[in-house]
Amino acid sequence: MGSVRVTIREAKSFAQFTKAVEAIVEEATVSFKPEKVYIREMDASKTTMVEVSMPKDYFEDYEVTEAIAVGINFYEVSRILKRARRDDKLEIEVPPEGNMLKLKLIGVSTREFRLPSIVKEMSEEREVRLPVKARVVILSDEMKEIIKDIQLVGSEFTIESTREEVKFLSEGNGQSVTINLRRGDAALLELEVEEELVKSTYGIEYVRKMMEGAKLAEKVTLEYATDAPLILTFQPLEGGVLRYFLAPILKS
Amino acid sequence: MGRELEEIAREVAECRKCSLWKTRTNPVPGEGPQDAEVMLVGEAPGRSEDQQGRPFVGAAGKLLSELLAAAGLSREEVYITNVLKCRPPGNRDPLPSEIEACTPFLDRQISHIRPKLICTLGRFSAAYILSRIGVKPRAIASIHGKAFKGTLDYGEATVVAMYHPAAALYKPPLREAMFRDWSRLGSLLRKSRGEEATLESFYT
Repeated sequence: MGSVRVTIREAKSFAQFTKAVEAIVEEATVSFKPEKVYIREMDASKTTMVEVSMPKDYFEDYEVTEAIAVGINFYEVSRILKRARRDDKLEIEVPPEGNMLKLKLIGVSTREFRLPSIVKEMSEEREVRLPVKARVVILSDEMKEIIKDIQLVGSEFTIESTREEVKFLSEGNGQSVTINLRRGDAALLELEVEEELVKSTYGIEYVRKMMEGAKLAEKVTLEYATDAPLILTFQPLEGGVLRYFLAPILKS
Repeated sequence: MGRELEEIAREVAECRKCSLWKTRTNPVPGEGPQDAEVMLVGEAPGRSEDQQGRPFVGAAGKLLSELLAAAGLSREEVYITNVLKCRPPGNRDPLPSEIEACTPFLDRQISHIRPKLICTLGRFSAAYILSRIGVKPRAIASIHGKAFKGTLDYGEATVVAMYHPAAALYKPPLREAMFRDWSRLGSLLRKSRGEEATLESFYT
């Protein structure tokens, strides 16, 4: 079995990826492949899933002699990476046995943390084919504001998209809120809708957690179809892709 | 109540493994159906529970009923018990020796009821039950509402760590987080029963 040694120029930016995974699952299988690092993990309730793909180019140094998948506790990794200082580099090492993860924070000093890990089966990387009839690109900060508005009123929300606008609606306890983003509005960057009306409902708390990804990218892409899962994608400028999937709440 | 649960209740009443029997009024073994899908595990009986011999009957119990309703559950369909079956004097925290002495009763209750889902209420309950499924205990503020899958002696179970309802009585701002957690628990239950869509149901 091969070993892994990869280096990230900014430990702090990588830490944000680990927080984005931890927002959904505590433990996840990380596949180190010769061409990329890949994570896909579903939460215990099978409501949400997180997917991270980091190509070799994302890393400053990348040595993966043979593909290996290890189970890692992201809660613990996040705790350690909180200790990263500005300008610290991060070196990640997995020995051939796969039973340990070494995290080295390299800056004015070198701090090495060791965590237990276990060898896992490689995450299946087949494409998740979900129906998509609407694609909406919004400024991440605006999406966070939308979530805050919705949380004042209800625990779930409906997205309605037409070719001209996207609406976020929620109601609860006799209150309601509607947030409109029309084509041309500064916060609505792209809108592609294949049907007259695409409408689906989701739990707000899950989306709130997924907005951990907003710290990685200025814009978020929402893709969905009527009564189908929501896909949220963040693409950081530094490279890599963070994607969340969320099952709908079926109203019928 | 099943025979095994009655036997456990009888043994709890006669138990002298720690000193709490000396100061309690009534033991509080737990109550609910023996085939409950959901089991709630609190910390220890309080004053009202001690007087009535039933779990969660005081102010925290009233809130617990509301939280259960937020999850689409009723009190009658869940099994409710505590880590300790006797009230610690002055509602003090359970001692490690008391937990060690009392948890064999809880383990037997869990093995008999075989719940699909165990909700821990408060930190002592979370620490004990999560350790049973091999999850490292940690602050309730960082794990509340989270679901952990694990294996118990009868098979797979999901453990969800919840704030203790009494916490909202001391810290009212927690109330909102509690209702959010219990509402998500309802969703988790509906999914496990196939009543609500999961991501898997959309894969092509």
